[in-house]
Amino acid sequence: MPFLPDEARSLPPPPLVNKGSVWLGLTGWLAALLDNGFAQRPVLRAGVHRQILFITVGWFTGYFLVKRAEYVHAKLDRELLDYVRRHPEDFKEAGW
Amino acid sequence: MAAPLRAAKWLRLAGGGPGLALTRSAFFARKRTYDQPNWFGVGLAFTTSAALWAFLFKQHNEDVMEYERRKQERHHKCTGCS
Repeated sequence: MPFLPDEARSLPPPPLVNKGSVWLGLTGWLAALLDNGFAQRPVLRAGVHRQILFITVGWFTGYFLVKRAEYVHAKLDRELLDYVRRHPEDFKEAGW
Repeated sequence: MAAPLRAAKWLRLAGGGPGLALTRSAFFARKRTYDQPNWFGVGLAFTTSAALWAFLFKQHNEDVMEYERRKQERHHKCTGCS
């Protein structure tokens, strides 16, 4: 199973700064800070290379996860609206 | 039987572990020293970060180009040549 089928490329891609990237980037940073804390190093000033790497990995993962989530939502919307269009008798306006 | 015991004793004395206590631990934990930066680790971390960012930028630009291209194609197909 592909991570994203080809038709997903017809959707607008998420911006580089997106909710998933920001959130996972922050969790990556928190993981690096926790690692510093547990290893009894200065929490913010130590292991900056590690902080940058963890933020990057989170950001990277967030981008692809958001892309996949947007594809899944678009696919569901397409199938739902297609069903509504094919069964107009079930979706009449109110006032009967 | 004797040789591994002797080796274990030598390792125990050399590693600064629990000393001459008769333990049979398989490994020793050493306290990390932060006198010298771990330059290899630092270089690896920065290189990996740079590579990931470069790949991400490239992927995003490709995604945008492909989306715009398909949008043009769809517009062209639906409206015909105007």
